[in-house]
Amino acid sequence: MTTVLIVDDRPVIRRLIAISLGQEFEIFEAQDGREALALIQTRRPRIVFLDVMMSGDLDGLQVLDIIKGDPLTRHILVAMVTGRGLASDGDDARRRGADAYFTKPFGPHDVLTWVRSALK
Amino acid sequence: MNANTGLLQAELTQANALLRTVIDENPNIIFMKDWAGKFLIGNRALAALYGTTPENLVGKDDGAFNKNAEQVEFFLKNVQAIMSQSETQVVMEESTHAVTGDVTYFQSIKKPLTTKDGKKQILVIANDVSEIKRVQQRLEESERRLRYVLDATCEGIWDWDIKTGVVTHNQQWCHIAGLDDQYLQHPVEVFSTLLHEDDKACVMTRLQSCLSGGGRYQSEHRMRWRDDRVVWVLDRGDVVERDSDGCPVRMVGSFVDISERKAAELALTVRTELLDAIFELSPDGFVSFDEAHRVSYVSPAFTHMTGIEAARLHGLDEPCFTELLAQGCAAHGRLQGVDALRRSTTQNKPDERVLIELATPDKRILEVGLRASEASTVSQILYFRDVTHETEVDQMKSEFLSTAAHELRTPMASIFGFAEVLLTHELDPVSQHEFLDIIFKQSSLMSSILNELLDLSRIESRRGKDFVFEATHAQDLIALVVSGFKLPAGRSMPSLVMPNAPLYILADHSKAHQAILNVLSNAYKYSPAGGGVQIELVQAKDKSGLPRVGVRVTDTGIGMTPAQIERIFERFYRADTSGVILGTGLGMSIVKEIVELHGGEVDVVSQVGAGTSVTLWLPAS
Repeated sequence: MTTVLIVDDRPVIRRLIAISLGQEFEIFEAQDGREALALIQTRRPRIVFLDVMMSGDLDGLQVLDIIKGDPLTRHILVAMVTGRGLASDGDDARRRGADAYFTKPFGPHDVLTWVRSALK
Repeated sequence: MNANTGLLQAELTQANALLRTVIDENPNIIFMKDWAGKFLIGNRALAALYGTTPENLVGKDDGAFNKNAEQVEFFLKNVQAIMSQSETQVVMEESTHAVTGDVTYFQSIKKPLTTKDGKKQILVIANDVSEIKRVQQRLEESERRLRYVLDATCEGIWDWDIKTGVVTHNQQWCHIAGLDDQYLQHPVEVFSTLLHEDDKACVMTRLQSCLSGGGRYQSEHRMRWRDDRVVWVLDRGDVVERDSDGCPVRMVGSFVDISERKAAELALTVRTELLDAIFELSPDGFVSFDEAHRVSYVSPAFTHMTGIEAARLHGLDEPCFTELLAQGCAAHGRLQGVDALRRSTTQNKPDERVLIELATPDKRILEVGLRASEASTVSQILYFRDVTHETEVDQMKSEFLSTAAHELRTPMASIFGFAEVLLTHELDPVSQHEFLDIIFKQSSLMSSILNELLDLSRIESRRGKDFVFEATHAQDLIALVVSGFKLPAGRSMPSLVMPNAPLYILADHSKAHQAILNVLSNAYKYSPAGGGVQIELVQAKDKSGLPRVGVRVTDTGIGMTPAQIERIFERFYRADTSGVILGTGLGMSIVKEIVELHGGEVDVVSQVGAGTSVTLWLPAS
């Protein structure tokens, strides 16, 4: 079963993504960057949904840099999730290695479509 | 022939020889001609003029030596006319030297003679007056030149005979004075009547000083002419003759109408004063450069902004100016050279401006523009506008908008996402209810955010202008807040600690109500374990010693770290990010705005795990 890590400081968003993915994935959740990095080390997820603006000392983009900067985790598919939604933010995230960029609001269909095509 | 005759003959010969010598040695030209104009005799002076010898002259006419046919014809006609009249005449004539071509002028005495046999002859003694003639010509030329100059410069001249008291003028003087030519001469007293009453004493003092040997007279003053017209004149002169006792006898001078210049000077003075005032008062800084592109003027506002004294800038060229300015700039906010700014300022973009950032004396953002000048002495003007405040406000606005959009998108994401889940998934009733509940709560959150954003923006834009401050009974106000408060389920009412004696605050009733309600609501929200909440009324004095009343709300809830307290008034800042405690993150921003518009302040004391105490200080009435 493919492992997915959802990182967001708002439980309601984590819940939405989890529901969107349905039963076919093994899902872990983290509420900040530190927790996310710990789970990446122990659970080696295939996909990470990562909130850009999170409370705590690491924001989403910093976590992205760490994932994409480490040869052991570089292959992990990372989808950034943000409420900002300026075109330049998405460009910046892609340059830094993000595989997808979701701007709120988004629905389960968008999430599932991307996950399926990314895994092919 | 007798001896007598021989003696006479000898004497005659001697006399002839003497005469011949006298004639030859005479510097004047002496000759005799017959009717046909042929020389009967001619002296050495004539021979020298014609480049020949006296002997060679005899029997020849002027045409043999003078190539100027016109002169030759004149000589012949003139002597024939005189010979036919038999009266001695003085004739002014000229002769051209055969070799050199030089013209010699003569004043000739022409005496007609008649021989015994009736033949007409003429004796001519011609005096060379060339030198006199040339001096005369030079004098005429000099006078003509002076007249031309005076006419061209419109200078009037005056010549004062001090003994007789008569002043003589040229026409130009009368013209400037608006007088006709009958005033070419007048008594000196007339002059003083033409002086402007305010300048008379000064002019007289200067004239007197010159007369008594105090140096040249020069004066710029007003004159009031007969037609009441006032003109400015520049009058200059000096004593040119004094008698043996040193008393002045004659004084001459010139004067010229300088009214136009004076009017221009006055206009310039007015304009300069106006510009000085504008530059002094303008909050914008100006630096102007001269035609050599060196700093020529620095306005006080520029010095105020940059801390660079004008004296350090004067005369600096563009690179040095840029360098000096750069010393006070942040590394990333320097002016990229005056020439670069000039290049980007084209006809199509005359108002091209760049931003620079000063690090000293204060952090400031300056907008710099360049205006090229058409004036010959000013090449360009740089102007500096302090846009620190605008830039900060712009930055805050865009940050705020970005944050507000983010905060609105989060509940919207839940509503949108869970609505899609409900539409597309087969769900059991429990899940359906859970998702509908999420949608409901997130919709209310969105609505609260929008309401509070509007509240905040209204309070900010009005800056308290819509506040109605009145003496408000503090105990009554708190009782009203508490009675209207929707107590969360399972919680007890706040305990009130208030003095019996009525306390009055100077407050806008509904705004103060809103502020206290927000704080009270937070106290319950952030004490989820259910601890007690207390409202206390306290009294104190503010920094200026004025009495104030504090509404203190204390809970025994989760409390805050010092870092969290620091951010409590930040918009959208939430101490709880877990989503367990619902809120917009705007409540305390609104509280702060309201209290500060009352002239009060908000104190926050908190300890993690122990609780929080928020005091709203409002002025006592």
